[in-house]
Parts: sequence; structure tokens; C-alpha cells
Amino acid sequence: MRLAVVDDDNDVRTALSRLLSVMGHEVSAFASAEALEAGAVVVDCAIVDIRLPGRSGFEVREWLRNLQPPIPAVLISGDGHRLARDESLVLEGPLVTKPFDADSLATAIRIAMSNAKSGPERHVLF
Amino acid sequence: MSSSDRFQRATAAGGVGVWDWNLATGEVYVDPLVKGRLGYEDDEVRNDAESWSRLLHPDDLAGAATRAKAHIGGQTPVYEAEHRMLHRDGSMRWFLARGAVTRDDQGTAISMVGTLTDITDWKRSEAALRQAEELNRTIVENTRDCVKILTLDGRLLHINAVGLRQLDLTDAAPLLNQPLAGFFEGEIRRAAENAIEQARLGGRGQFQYPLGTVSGRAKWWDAVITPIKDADGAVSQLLGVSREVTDRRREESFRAAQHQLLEMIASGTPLLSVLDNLVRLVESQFDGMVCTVLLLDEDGVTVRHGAAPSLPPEYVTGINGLTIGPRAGSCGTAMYRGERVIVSDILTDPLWEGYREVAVQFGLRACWSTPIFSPQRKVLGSLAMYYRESRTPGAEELWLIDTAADLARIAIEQQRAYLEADAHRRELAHLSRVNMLGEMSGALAHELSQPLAAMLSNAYAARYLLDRDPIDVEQLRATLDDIIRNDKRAGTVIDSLRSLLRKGETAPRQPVDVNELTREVLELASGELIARRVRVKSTLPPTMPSVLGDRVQLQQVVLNLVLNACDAMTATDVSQRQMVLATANDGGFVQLVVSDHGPGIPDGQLQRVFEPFVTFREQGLGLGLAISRSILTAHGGSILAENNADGGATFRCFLPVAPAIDPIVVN
Repeated sequence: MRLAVVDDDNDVRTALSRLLSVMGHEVSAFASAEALEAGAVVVDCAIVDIRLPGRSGFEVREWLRNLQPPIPAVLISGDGHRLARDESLVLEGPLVTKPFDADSLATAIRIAMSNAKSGPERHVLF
Repeated sequence: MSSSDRFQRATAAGGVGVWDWNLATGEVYVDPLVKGRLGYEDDEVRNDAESWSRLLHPDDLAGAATRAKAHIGGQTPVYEAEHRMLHRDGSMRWFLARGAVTRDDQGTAISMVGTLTDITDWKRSEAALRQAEELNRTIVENTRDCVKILTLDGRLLHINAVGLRQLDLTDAAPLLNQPLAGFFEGEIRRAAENAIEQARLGGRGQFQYPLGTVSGRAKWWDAVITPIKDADGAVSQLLGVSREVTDRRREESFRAAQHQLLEMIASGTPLLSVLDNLVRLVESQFDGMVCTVLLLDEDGVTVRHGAAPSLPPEYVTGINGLTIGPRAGSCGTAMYRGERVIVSDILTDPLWEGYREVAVQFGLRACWSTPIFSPQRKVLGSLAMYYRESRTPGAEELWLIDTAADLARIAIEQQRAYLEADAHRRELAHLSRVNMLGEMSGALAHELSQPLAAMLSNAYAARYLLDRDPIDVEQLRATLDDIIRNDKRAGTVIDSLRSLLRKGETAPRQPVDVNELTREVLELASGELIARRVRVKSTLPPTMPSVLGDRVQLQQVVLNLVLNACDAMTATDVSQRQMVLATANDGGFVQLVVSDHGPGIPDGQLQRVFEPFVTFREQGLGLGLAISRSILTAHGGSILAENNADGGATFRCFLPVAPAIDPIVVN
């Protein structure tokens, strides 16, 4: 699978990219929403940190959803969903809380991709 | 007017009357005017020698008769006698009688004619003058002041006995005609010259001078120079009066020292240093006296060292930790009884049983101790005077003990109040930190979850790497290294949290780099800043002098200002949410500025923001700024709030630059 990782934290981005590649994926990593847009890569799924400098993970997910074809997204968060003004944003798609197991992440990616095919279902993973 | 009338008038005016004594008949004519002076009408005193001589003072009669005989006998060219005469009312009047005899051809005296002049007034003023002179002489020679008469150019004409004694001299000769100012040097000489000049111009000059005495201790004298004027009012000589003012000067310097001590206390000088100064001041008042202060622990029985600069350190260690009791030397007993204890001889006094050896070791023989009381009559400690010989205190020494004990009380109380306030402030600061970190808990969890997430991902990656064949050792090593680094990163976060959550103990102030401190705070708050979409523009100059302080408390101040700035911009458009953080070296102070783009502080509230429980936020206790200010004040600094011209508020903190420390030379 071709995956994008968007996280401004160098350590997290490096570790997550390493894990996904040893799991057999092709990974492109970005430090911000803006870098992702500028990167213009074609991916099957994006793993996006909610808390980003500039535009947030929620906005990135929205942007990805509006692409043609849309790209599914998994949100990752360091402090849960505390910061969302609108709780429905949190429930809209798969979200994993740092630190997470490799399996949980794999499951979240799967769900995001199946949602993209069959229309959104509401899942929250902790 | 006949010539006789004219004479009568003339003599009447001067109190002078004529007399004519017929030596043959004994008949005496006396001017009615003289009779009038004695209160008689002309016909009330018969004109004969016997009647007249009855009016003479009996003590003067013989003298007058002798002189008259001498003149009649031709031994004196004129008769002249001063004698008193009795007034009708019983008082005395003085007369000067002058006369000369008339002789016949054979040279026999036939009559004596002369004048009687009433000299009573003159006599009185003469007596008064003599009396005044005598009085002056008595005063000058018996006064305790040194009296000198000087010429107009300040040379010594006369000095009284006190003045000679003052100089240890018996003879004034070597001093006479010497310039007075020449006895002194420098400042005092100039002051003396100035005082003499003042008096010479008709004013009053004054100066003070020390004179050594045989005992070696200088005594201070206060000299006042005033002009002596002659009958025409011109200054003819100068009068110098010097008075010993040693006691007064001592009192003045004691009062000044007392004032200085109170200032030390008020400015927060450490207690032991204040007590040390107090004890030295007391010791300076009496030769050979040793003063000490002991402190009583809160437990009310354990004695702690206070100040004993004149006793060796072994004494201090020996005293520390002893307990008070009914027979515990002078101090231990004074604190136990709650009253003054005077031991005039340590060698024999039963109170010193068991402590005598220590006293003997340090050569102490007498010890007078007074307890130091709090206003609630709680014993705080004791103040003692020691002498190296057996002795009982004089009134002045007792006064000094009481005064010094009172100063010690103020110092001890101030210290206790300060410690209490400090503990209170630390407690509040801690609560406020806990509160602040609670508000930030989400961001802090994020701060911790980042390295944890990296570690976990790396660990899973490592497991995948192990399952491969062949194992990519290089990548595995890099992965493990990342785990180690992230573990350390998490540790750092935990450390800084722990230090912020720690209850501050009284830590010694350490040099703090404000720039480094600011960066640490921004690091800690980075999660919160991102979450709130606040951008930080920090201007930290490459080099900044250190300040002395409690690192955690100063971190708390900066963190509080940063979080406040975030809060202030909650309603601000995301594009405008910018905070400015800057430090600057501001002439002896390090200035830290935190500026936001929020709505600013409401009109008239700029000062109130530092008051406790005043808040313009929806959440928060309103203690943050009050505590920040108390922390800065305790560091000798301050904080100001102002509104920016382009909106938002700015907080400026000032902290004094740490004094330069001499580099320690290590051999």
C-alpha cells in the first residue's frame, strides 16, 4: 500500500514511517498539511496527526475527502480528541491515540479504506 | 542769684553738701542738704560734734577720727575719709568726707571746712561689681567646663583649671599666646578656625574635638566661641567654653547604629547577620565586655547559637543544642525562668554548676542574661553580657541589655514573620503551579505521548526487523537508538513536570539564565500553543546576564504569562493569534516581555490585574498574576502591565542581574 504520514514531530514521523515500511508499505512522510498538499503524491491512505502547526488534521482529512478520487485518512492524536470543538468531527472516521499498537494502526487503516469504498461508518478506536 | 545760692544748687545736684567744724567750740555746721539725705530736717540734728558723730556708723567712727587727727596734726595735706552714716529709717548711706583746716598765726587749727558727698550709689555699684567679679571667678574656676579667653586672632589669654586638667597640665604658661586652632589638625583645625572667625565677626562659633586621656580613650569636647564686647559694643576678646560631650556623642552614635540595625532588619538581612551586628554594637559600648545572643527553638527548650563574634567557635558548638533549665548557667536559667539573671561570679554561683568549666576555659567570670520575649511573652532567646572579672551591672549596662534585647526581639520576630510569609508564598505558588499544570494537562499528555508513540512504533518496527532474514543489523541498531533517545525525551518531560509539581523547599538562589528558562517554558507549553493555534515570536539576545533565583518559581512566572497570553487570544482570529516573547538587558535588570494580541486589559484595571482573585478569564482562580508578582518581588524584581497601542496587553518583568562572582582560583 502507498501511505502518507503527516506529523510535525520528527521522532514520531520517523518511527511511524519506519514501522509502516517494515510492515511492507510504501511511505511518504510530511511535516505539515501544507507539505502534504505541495507533495502531490498519490497514496491509498493518509495517517495524519490532529495537532499540526497551520491547518489541523481535521482540515487535512476534509481536504483529502474532497479530492477526486478521495483519499481515506486515519487521524492520530497525542491527547485524544480534547481539542475538537465539534465532537462529531472525532466520530467521523478512525482515530488512534498515541502511543498505539501496530495492530490497532493496521486495523484503523483497513477501516478507513473500507469506509472510503462503502461510505462512511462511524468508528472510534482508542 | 547770689554766689552762695549758686553753690547750694550746684552741690544739691551732685549730692554734695558743705560742713564747717569749729574746733574751738565743737560747733559743727552741716549743710541741711546732707541732713536731708539722712532723712532729717535741718533743726532735727543739732549743730555740734557730738550730735553729728552719733550719726556716723560706729565701725567707721574711729577711722574717721584718726584721719581727722592726722590732718589737724599736719600729717596729711587734706582730710579724706569714706564712712557710712545712719539714715533715719535705719538704712546706711556712704559718704565721702573731704576737708582742710584753717590755722591761726601760731599754726593752731581753729576750724576745718569741707564737703560731704553722698557716694552710696557708687559704693553699691562697686560692691555689685566686686561681687560679680567674684561670682565670675568662682564660676570660671569651679565649672566642669573648660573656659578660655582668646584674643581677636584666636590666641590664648587665659585658661581655667579645668582646661589645664583637660590637657594634663599644671601651668598655663606654655600655652599662653598660642593660637587655639594650632592645637588641632585637619578637619577639626578648620572647624576651630571657622568658629573663631564667626565669633570675631560677632556671631557664635562651635566645633567639636577629641582629646586623648591617660586612660587612652578619647573624650569628645564641644566648644562654643562667643565674642566679648567692650563698653562701646565692639568685639574686644573671645570667650571659649568647652564641655565634655563624650556621653552625648556615644548616645548619638548608638542611636545611629540602632537606626542602621532597624534598617537592616527591615530590608530582610538574614537574622544571624543582624544579631552579629547587634552584638558588636553592644560590645563597643563598654570596654572588655563580651556580648552573645542565644535563640530558643520552637520546641521551647533547645538552645541554638545566635551570635557570639567575640567568643571562639568551640563555644558556639558547645552551646548549640543544650536545653534550658532551672540551673543552666545565666542564659539557660534566664530563658527557663523568663526573667533576668545576674551572675556576678561564675566561679561561685550555683547556677553555673556543670557549666563552670566552659566559662573558665574561655576566661569568663561574670554573666548577666536577659530573656528576649515575643509580644505574647513567649521566650525567643536571650541576650547576655560577659565580663572577664567578677562584676555586677550598673544602670547603664542594664539599660543597654534591655535595649539590645528589644532590638534582638524585633530581628527575631521579623525573621519569623518573613519565613512564615515565605512558606505561605511557596505554598500558594505550588498550588498555583498545580492548578496551571492541570489546565495544561491535555497538552502535557501530548508532550509525553509523542516520545511514547515513537518508542512503541520503533519497538514494533524492531520486532518486524527481527523476523526478516537476513536481519538488517544497521536498521535495527538505528531503531533501538531512536527508542533510547525517545525514552530520554520522555524522561525530560517528566523531570520538568516533577520539578514544577514539587513543593518548593527553601532552595539557595542559583544563577538562572532567563533565555534558557524561557526556551524551556516554551518547550513545555508547545503542545498547548499548537492546540490553541498561537504562534510565538521570541526575541532572545544571544547573551544575557544571569539572575539569582529559584528556577522553578521563575519558570512558573513565565509559564503563567504565556498561558495568560494564550487565554487572552481565545476569541482572537486565528491569523492574529501571535505572542511576542522577548528578553533584554536593561541597566542592572533583566527584562522579560510577554505580549499578546488579545482584547487588552479593561480601562482602569491595569493595576488590579495583580490583585488576588481578580480575573478577566472565564476559568482560573485569578491567582496567577498575584503569585507571579509576589515571586518577582521576593526576587527583588517587579512586574508591570500595559496595553499595546495596536491592541493586546504587554507584561514586563524585571529581575536584578546577579552580582558578579569572583572566579574561584583552584590550585
